Amino acid sequence: MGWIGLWRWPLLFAPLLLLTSCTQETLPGASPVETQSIDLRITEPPWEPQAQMSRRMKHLTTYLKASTGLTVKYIPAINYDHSYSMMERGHADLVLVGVYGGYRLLKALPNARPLVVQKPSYRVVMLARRRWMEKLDSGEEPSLASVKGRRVGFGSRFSGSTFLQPMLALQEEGLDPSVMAHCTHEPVQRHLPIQVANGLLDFVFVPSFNDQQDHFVPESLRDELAVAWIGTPRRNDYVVALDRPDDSQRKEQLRLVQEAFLNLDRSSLDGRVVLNARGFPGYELPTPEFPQMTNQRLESLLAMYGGRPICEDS
Amino acid sequence: MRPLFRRLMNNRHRSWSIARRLFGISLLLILLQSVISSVVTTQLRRHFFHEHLEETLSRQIVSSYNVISDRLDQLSVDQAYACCSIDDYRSWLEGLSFENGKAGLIIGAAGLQATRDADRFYGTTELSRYAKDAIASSSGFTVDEADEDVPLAVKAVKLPGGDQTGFYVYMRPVYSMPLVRTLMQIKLVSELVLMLALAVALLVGLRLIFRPVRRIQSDLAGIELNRLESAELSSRDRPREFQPLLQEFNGMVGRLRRSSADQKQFASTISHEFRTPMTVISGFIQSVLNRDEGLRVQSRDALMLANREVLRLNRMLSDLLDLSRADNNQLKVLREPFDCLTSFREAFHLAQAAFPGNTITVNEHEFETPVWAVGDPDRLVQCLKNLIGNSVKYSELNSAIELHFEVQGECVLFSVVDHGQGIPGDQQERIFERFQRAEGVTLRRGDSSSGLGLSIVKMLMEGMGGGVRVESEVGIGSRFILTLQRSLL
Repeated sequence: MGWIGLWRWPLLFAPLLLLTSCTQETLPGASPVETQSIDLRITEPPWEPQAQMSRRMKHLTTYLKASTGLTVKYIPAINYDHSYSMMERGHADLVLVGVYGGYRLLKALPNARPLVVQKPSYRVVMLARRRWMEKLDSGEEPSLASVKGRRVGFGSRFSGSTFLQPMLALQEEGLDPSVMAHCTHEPVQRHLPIQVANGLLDFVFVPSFNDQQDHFVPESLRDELAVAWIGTPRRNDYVVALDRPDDSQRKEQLRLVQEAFLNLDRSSLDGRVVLNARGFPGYELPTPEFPQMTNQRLESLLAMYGGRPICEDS
Repeated sequence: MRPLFRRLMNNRHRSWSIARRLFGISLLLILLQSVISSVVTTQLRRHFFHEHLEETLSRQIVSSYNVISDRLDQLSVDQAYACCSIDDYRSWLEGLSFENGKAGLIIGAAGLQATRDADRFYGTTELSRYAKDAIASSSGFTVDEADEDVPLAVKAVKLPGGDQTGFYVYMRPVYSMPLVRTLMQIKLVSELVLMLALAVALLVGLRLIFRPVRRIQSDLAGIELNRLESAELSSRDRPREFQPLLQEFNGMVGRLRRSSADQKQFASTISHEFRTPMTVISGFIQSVLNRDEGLRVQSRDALMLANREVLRLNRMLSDLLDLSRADNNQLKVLREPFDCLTSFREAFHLAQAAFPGNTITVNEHEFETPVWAVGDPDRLVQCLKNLIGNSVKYSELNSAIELHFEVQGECVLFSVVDHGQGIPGDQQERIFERFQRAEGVTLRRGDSSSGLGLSIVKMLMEGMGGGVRVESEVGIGSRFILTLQRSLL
């Protein structure tokens, strides 16, 4: 019996699985009918407008249903902390996190484990106004040091990709956050570029997940904004799952989900839609480097700040 | 129904105008273009105006939305789980205020909470309706045009989380809408004016385009049958499109001219060649009649008839010869002062001798002294003889003929009046054309007409600088009037 045949066995016990899930705690607003058919629940910190988050999650859950047969329900989170706490309180089984969320969950929950990690494609990008770039003296190159005395915008204070990663980059350059004249957080990362375009900020840090460095910049703002600095390719996102050592069914479900994530590629329509929505080239298994080593670096960064770093005036 | 059908059928055969069709089609196209342009412009305006408004609102909503999302981001886990009540909504909107009718609100499971001062402009029901419309739209954006002068642009964005957090809705009145409407009205008026101007320009353009056609039409109308040598139309300064047509026409005129010249030459030769034998025949008949008194009555009558016919034939040949000479510009007609009264009397006496059966009266005795006119005395006599002959020919046997002589100012008038059949009004012009006779007018049995007499009279009178005209009434009779210029010598 091949592995495909093997993963089909749990499907025979689907009614039993459904009965089991009925005993789980439901979130306010979720209908009992929906709860009955749910195999796994997934959440993600709200780093984008909710409409886009919901759309992207719809692609993912549709793909997971098609490739694993499992019904995975998306539970929207109000903020980053809320999304992490859902895992901590057992309201979610899977969470799509960045480096900070993953660090926090892996540290807090012994049963949490990284299921799959993003293939190295993440880069932190610093955006500035194109006019400012054009006014630079010849030979003067924009760099991370340009943030000195300027107004800078980051993502949520709980965001890895748009706060802790830039902070790590600043640290590597020997720059202290206090050199910035003004620092602010914008949880919805998609709204960061428009703040620069509107003249409210001088620089913002946004993520880039592919070769197009300004893919995070809306089409209508491309003429006004330009990439001032870009970091080295890294990993930032991964999927953390809550394991239950004694629960073989959960183990099997997580294995199926892991396989589905690993099989994501652009050859199929479903896979293409999911990857395009996230902007990733794909997922792979965790490595000794990521997330473990990255978490250690974060540990030292947080230790340096005596906890989570914050903007001076936020 | 039948008259309508008949009218339609008749219309089918009516001539049509290229200019009118061109004008009609062009006008229709202009009208169509204007209508399509208006529709496209309106649609584009609506599309781009909405797009522009949506982009503007998407930008404007960000700053206030960020305040709320930052507050949501800072909610503790317990607060997030306890979320959300109307007080939560209120606290998230705390400090946000807008001016000039702009407003923000949160609408979700807990209800609706608007920003401060929103109630100054909008009622809760209105706000709820605007918000629900925007949320229901696929892009989260609507323009409420219930107030035509100041429509309301509304943008809705889902707040992070599920139904409990709800939507943040931002709205602002579009004060520039009246300006946009005025611009559209100006555009519409300018389009109408432009259309009118185009129609006028088209009309003028068509007149210009068809000017060469009218010139050719006028040139063609001026062509006279007996002046084919000047009938060719110059192709200089004519449109290129007409060149082949003019070439063909001029070719045809050339062929006609050659044919006409051949005919005239033939007529001239025939007339000339026939006259000598006719004169000889007539001379011998006269001689036999005069010298041989022993002829039987039947033979004498036969010879007299033959002589009359020869004389008639001779007259016809003379007419033909005159026409032929006139066509070849060889006819000599004098224009010199002469005593026209003497010529008038001569014609009278000749007529009396030629038509002894008719009572011919004349008023010449009213004039004692010679009356001088400009012309040719012999040709005047010829014309009067011709008219008197016609009057006799088309009147009852032995009918009275009156000759009138009159001086009117600078003109001298000679009238020949008969009491014959008369000539219908519509025929009075064409009887002066060659080989034309009035329709419905009959000759007496045994008489014949070549149809050349009146055309020769006209030609000769005009050659003398005078003219001929007719006044006639069917059943009453006719008056032919010859006019000459009076000489003051």
